[in-house]
Amino acid sequence: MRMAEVKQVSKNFGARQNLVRALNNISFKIERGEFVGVMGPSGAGKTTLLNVMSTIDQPTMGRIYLAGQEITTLPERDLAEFRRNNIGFIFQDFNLLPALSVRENLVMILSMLRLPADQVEQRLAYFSERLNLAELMSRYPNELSMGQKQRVAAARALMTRPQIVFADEPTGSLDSKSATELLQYLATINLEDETTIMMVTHDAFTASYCNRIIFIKDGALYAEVVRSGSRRQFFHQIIDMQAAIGGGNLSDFKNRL
Amino acid sequence: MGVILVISKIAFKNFRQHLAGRVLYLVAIALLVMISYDCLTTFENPIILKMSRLNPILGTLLILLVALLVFSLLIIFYANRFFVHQRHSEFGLLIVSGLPRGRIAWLFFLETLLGEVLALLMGLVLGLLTNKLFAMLLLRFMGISQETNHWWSLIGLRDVSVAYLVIFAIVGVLDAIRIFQLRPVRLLNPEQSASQPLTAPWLARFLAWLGPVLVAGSYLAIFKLNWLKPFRLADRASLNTLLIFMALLLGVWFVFRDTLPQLCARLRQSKWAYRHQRILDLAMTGSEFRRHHQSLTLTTVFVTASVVLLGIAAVSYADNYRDLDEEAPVDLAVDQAYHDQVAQEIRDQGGQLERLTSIQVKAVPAQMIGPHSREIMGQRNMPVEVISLAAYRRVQRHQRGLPPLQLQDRQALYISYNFQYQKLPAQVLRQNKIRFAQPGLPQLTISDYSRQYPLGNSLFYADLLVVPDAFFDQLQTAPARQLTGYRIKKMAPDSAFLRKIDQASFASKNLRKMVYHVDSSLRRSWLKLSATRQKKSANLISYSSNSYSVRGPFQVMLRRFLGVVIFVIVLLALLMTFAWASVFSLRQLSQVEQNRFDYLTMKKLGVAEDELLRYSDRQNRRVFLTPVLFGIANGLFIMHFVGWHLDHLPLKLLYLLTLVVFLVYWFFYLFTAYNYRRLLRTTQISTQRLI
Repeated sequence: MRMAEVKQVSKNFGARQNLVRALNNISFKIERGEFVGVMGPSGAGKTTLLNVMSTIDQPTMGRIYLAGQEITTLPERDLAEFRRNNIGFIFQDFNLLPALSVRENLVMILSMLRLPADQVEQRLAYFSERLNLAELMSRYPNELSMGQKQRVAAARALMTRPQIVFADEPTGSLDSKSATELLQYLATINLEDETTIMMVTHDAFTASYCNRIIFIKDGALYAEVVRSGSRRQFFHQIIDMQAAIGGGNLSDFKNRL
Repeated sequence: MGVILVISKIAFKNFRQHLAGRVLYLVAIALLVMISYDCLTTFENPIILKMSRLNPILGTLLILLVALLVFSLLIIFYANRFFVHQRHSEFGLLIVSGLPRGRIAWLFFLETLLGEVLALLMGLVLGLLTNKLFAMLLLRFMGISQETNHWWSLIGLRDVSVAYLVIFAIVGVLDAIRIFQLRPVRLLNPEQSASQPLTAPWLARFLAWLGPVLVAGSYLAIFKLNWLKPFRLADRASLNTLLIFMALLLGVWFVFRDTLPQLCARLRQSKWAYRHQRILDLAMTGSEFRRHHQSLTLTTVFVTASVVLLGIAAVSYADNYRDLDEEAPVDLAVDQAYHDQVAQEIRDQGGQLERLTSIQVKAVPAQMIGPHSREIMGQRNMPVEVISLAAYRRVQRHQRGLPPLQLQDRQALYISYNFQYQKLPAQVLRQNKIRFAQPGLPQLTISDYSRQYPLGNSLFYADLLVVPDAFFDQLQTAPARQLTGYRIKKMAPDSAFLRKIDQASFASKNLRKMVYHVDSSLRRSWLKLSATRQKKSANLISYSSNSYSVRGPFQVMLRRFLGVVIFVIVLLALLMTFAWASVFSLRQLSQVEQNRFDYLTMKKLGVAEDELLRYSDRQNRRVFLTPVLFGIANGLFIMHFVGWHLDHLPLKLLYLLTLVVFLVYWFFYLFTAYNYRRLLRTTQISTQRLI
């Protein structure tokens, strides 16, 4: 079953002489339960692609379908509701709300979904166990380590049981141990709960946790790599492709295993 | 030279960039400058100078001027604190980029100075334009119908400019000190430095309860205070008053710092908050209460001060102007002993006397019996002067302030200028009776109380009784007095000659003196008119009163003085309200920079923009209006109790002026909420940093 479809999407910034074409007639599909990575050199349009797919930004041209719904024509209010019900976000800088405790950060969006209290408690228990958050519930974001913050952010993204999770450089601010832990959590959730994940990253090691990598360059689809063997083999495939586009090396994998 | 030019250019650019959000603040400074110029120019206004020769008018204006300058210093200092706070991340970047802090301070000083100088110039121009209006208003408040054309004062322009430039320089130095103390790590990582409460839970709970307890305790103490005693620092009661106000201030501080944040925390943990989607706005409101408890406390203090000042103005206006009016048109009241002499002197000076009425006054020892009789009379026994109902009605035909009166056989009206008895409810007062020393006289029931004396209070020793005519005839008293009231024509009420007469009436030789021997049983009480001072004794009390009194000089002086005082108080309260509201609005807007990324995160998580704006409105309303309502409640509470003792509090006038204060803050709340929304909307969702 198809979870996302991007059809001939372009996105321009500026006008006339200052026109920048961030996305250039790009098309691809993501199936339910996939863990897709988006890679490419700096300025390739990775974040722009994630923004337009996650309804944060509007494409200049083209169509995007998420969970069977065309999102490019939805008005802002419906988009907000769509985001609330179908999308989860994990950001590089966590974006936890500092005034709320960990528990409140997790519960707050559920109150908007009007989820019954007993179901909220069930989900809290489930994710606090999976992401090891039980002891952090009454703490505030400024009392957490980076790794803990990102685990809370991941739990927040997953609490609403979204159809798809968009992760934007989720390990960018983490040390290698915390990054590995988080990626393992994401991979487990993807495998066990069949949660579709689309992750933007420039790091081959991080990307090696995905099932498929979409490489973009200059706003256009450059190549696609699908995992078929071990993670190590997949990593090599990614490195090769990165070398073709530019960036990445083998020592990344050796150093961090 | 090149660096200074670059810094000046950046400062000008920054100034232009921030101008729109600071307009009302600059207008507030301009208004302060305007009134400062108007005050100073008044010192050169020949009409006001002439009027104020015998009046402390100029002193009052000087107090206003000093208050305005101090207040200006305070609000500019406070506003610049917010501006520095608003620019923390920018300053952090400049510091780590290697720009010396001195240059950063200079840059900040220049850009704030541009706004301040603009406000100064605006204020001076407004001052020139409004000076005539200011002087005319002042004269009207003083009850003088005279035109003035004085509006230009070079000295005024120079002094105000210098004073404000000094203020700008002082604040600039203080800002520079603050900039030198900034720590780059905190500026660049505000999230890490923003700490949540780290106090032990029991201490946090204790402090949360301490605030309301202190506020309630202070209210109770205000209620118990004896407001009739004059305020003296050495006095224990005055010290207690100071302690009460400090406790109130501390209570308000704890309420904002601990009680309200904890209340918000409690509420947002409830099922109600979850069901009604109030978790976020309660959390943000609670954290703002904690983070800005200082400015919220100050706002409460300023609103309280504004309401109390306006209350004092309302009381002064309604109470004292009523006092001034109630004796009109009795311009001269004179005892028969001085009648011919004073009347002749006035006629010799070209004045014309129109006889209004004449009344006979008898003085007798009496005792009050009943609940709170000692509080009402000051002591149980005292001499009271008595007039007949017929005499009262004769005076009433001319003296419009006297209330109408009906008395039955055994009833009396009790008149006292002393307002202590008005602390008591009317039905309690009416349970009191008057017993006379003269044998055979029946006791009289007090049918009503008044503080308005026929022919004015100057010619009476102390309290006065109005009794039925038949009862009055039975009173045997040797020193009966005859008082006559006149209207004076063809002579200005504050003419030099009448002022001379007024001064002479207070000369010791012209005063009437009475000695009263106190006896608890009234059997051996006696009254004696005496021109000589008696030996002091616990049982002897001496009284004195004027033998004649001209209303004009004192009342003209009082009217002018009250006019200026009321004018100054109202002006100060309204300016304080406007200026502080503008600073409070700036503080709230400086917060938007910190909050808008939180709002954007919410937007990404699927909260619709109109819901977010509703959150921000709700949060702004709570943070903006809570200290205002708290301050108004404080002010009205204080005025209610103080005013209760002050007699006939013109509550309606106070409520009206309080409404004005509230509307000013409401206007600033709307302005803040509008700009807050605008700033939130300007940050598009895609502009938040994702990588």
